Amino acid sequence: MESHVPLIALVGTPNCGKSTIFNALTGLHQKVGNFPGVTVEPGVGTVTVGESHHTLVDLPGIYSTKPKSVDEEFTIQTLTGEHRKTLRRPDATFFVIDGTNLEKGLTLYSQFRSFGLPTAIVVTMIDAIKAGGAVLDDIGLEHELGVPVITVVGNKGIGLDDMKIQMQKTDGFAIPPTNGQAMGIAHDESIEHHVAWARALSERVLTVHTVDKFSLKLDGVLLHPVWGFVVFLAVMALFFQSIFSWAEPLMNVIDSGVASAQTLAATVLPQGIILDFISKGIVAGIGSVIVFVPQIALLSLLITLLEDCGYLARAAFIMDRIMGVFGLQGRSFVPLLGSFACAIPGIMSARIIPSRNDRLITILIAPLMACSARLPVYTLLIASFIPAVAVAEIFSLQAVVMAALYALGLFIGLVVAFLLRRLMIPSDKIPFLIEFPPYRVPSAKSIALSVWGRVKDFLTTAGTVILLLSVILWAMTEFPRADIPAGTPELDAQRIQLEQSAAGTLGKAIQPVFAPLGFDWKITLGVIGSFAAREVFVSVMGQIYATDVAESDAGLRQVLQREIPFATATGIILFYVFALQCMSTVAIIRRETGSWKWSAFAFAYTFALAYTAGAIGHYLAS
Amino acid sequence: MTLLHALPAGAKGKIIQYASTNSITERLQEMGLIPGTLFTIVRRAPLGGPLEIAYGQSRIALRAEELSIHVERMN
Repeated sequence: MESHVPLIALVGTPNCGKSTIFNALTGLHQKVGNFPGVTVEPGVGTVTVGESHHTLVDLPGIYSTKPKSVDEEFTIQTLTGEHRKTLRRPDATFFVIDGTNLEKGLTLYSQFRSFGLPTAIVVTMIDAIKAGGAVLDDIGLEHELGVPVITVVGNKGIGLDDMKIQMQKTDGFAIPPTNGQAMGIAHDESIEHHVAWARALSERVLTVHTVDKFSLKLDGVLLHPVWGFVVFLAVMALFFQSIFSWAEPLMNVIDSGVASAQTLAATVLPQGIILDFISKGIVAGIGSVIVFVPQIALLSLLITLLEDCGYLARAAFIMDRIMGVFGLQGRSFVPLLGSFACAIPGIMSARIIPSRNDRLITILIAPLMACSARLPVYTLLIASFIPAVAVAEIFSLQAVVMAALYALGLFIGLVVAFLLRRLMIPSDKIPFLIEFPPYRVPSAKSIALSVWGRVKDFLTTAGTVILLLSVILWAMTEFPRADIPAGTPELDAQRIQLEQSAAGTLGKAIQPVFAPLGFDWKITLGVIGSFAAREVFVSVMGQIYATDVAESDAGLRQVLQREIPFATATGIILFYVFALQCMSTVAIIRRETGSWKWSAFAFAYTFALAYTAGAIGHYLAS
Repeated sequence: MTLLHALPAGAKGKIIQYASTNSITERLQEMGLIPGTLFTIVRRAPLGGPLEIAYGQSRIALRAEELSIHVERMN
C-alpha cells in the first residue's frame, strides 16, 4: 500500500450497514484483503474523488473495544496500530451507526473515542427512521459529539457523495474530543456508563423511538413454533432444489464448452501427445475448475440474500436446538445443506459461523454430505446392480437405495460431529447469542459484488491447485507411453495405455490394500483415477473396460453386471458414500482452515470410514 | 427476583444483576442489556431452544440457561 494514499477505515457494529456503504463506494475496485498470518479478510478498495485516491478498508464489525473473537481483535488492533505489520493504522475513520439503533452505535462510539483517530460519523438507514415517523437531530448530534455527522441511505446511494466530499475536505474528519465532561461524555470507563451515556444521548437527538412493527409482525409468522418450521422447511427445500436444478443447465453449458474446445484443439493440432496434453490435461483441468462456478455463485447468492434480508439469523434460531444435539449450532445447517449440492461452496459458506471451533467441525463433516458428484457413481452402480422393482407398491427400490445412501452420509456426518466435539474440538464456550437485524430489502449491487468476490476467490486460490492436480493426474495416466501396435481400435488403445501407465502400475501395486473391499486392480485404478473427482470413476471404468461412455453408460452397465460381483459393488458404493475423493474439497479445506493439517485429517478420517464401511458391506453381501 | 431463563414468553422484566461474569455477560452489557434495562421475552424457540429478548431498539436470541442473570418481573 502506498503511504501517500490516505487509508480510511469503516468502523461500526455488526449489521450497521458498513459493507453496503463499502460496496457502494468502491464498486469493483475492491478485493478481499489477504494479510499474512491473519485469517480475517476485510474488504479493501479504492475510492477516487476527482484527482485524489483513497484506500478504504471495511473492518469487521465490533460491539465494544474488548475483543471476543479473532475478527474483533483484528479490528481493534488495526485501530490501535498494533497490527502495523499487516495493515497500517488508518489515517481516518468513518464511524458507521445504524440509525434504527442509535444507542448500540453510540455505546461503541463512547469507547471508540479514546483511540483518538480523526473521525466522521455516518448514520445509515435514515429512510427507516423517517418511515417510523421519527426525526434525527443530526446537527444536535454533531454538536454533542464534536465530529462531523453525515446521514446516508446505503442501499439507495443517498449521502454517498457527501462522504466523498468529506474525504477531500481538510476538516472532513475530526479527532473526537476527549475532554468529555463538557460534552457529557462518560468518564467512567465501565460498560454501564458507556451504555447509559449512549441511551441518554440517543433519547435527546431522536424524537420518537419506534419499534420496527413490520419485523415484529413478520417474526410472528417466521418464528412461530409451527409456521416457523413450515416456512423454514419450504425455504430450505427451495434452496436445495435451486442449487440442483438452476445450476445444472449452466454446468451442462460448461461441459459442452469443454467438449467443443477439445474438438477444436483436435482439428487444429496434429494427433499426439501435445494435443493430448492440451485437450485432456489443460482443457479438461480448466473445465473441472469452472464447472463448480455455477453452484458456488448460486449458493453464495442465496446465502447472501438470506443473510442480508435478515432471515438467516432467524433460521439459526429455529435450528439451534436440533443442531445442538450433535454438538453443532444453529448456523451450521446452511453449510451442510449447501454441501448436498457441492462441498466446495458449502465449506466456503461456513464463514457465517462466528465460533472457530464450530466452524471447523462443520467444515470437517461437510464432505460426508452426498454431493452431486457422487450421483453419477451412485446412478451407475445402482442401475447396474439394484433391480428396478417397486417397494410397498409406490417407491422404486432403486430410489429407496439412493435415498438411503443420502441419509447414511448425513447421519454418519452428524455422529462424527458429535464425536469430534467430545473428543477433539472442544466448544469455544460461546453460548448461543445472536442479534436479530430488522428485515431489510438487500442492495442488489452489494449482493452482486459479494457473489463475484466469492467466485474470484475460488478461481484464484482453489482453482489453481485443482488445475495443477488434474495435470499431474493426466500425466500419470499417459506416462510411460505404452507400445500400441498400429491399427488397434481407439478404445482398446486407451485401455492398454491406462493399464501400462504409472497410474495402472500404482493400481496394481495398491490393489492388495483394497482386497477386503473386493476391489480388483481395475476398480482400484478407478478409485485412484477418481481421486481428482468422484464422477471421474465412471469415465475411468469406461476406459478400463474399453466401452464408450461419452453418450450413455448403458453399455458400461452391462459390462459391470458381468464383470463385478454384487458384493464388490456393495463395497464400491459404500466406499463412495464416505470417501473424500475430491481434490477440490481437499484444497478448499486447506484454504478455509488455513492448514493442510485439517485437509489431511479430513481425508484420513473419511478414508478410514469409507474403507471400514466398504469392507463391512463387502463381507455382509458375500 | 427471578432468573431470566425462568421467564415465560410474553413476560416483561428489568435486569437486576449478572451473578456471573464471563465473556457472554460482558457482551450482553456491551449490547445494551445493563442492569436497569427493561426487556420483554418475545418467544422461546421450539423444543426448548434459545430465548428471544427485545429491549430498546434491539432484539437478540440467547441461550440463557448457563447464565445466572437475575431479573425482576414487571407483569
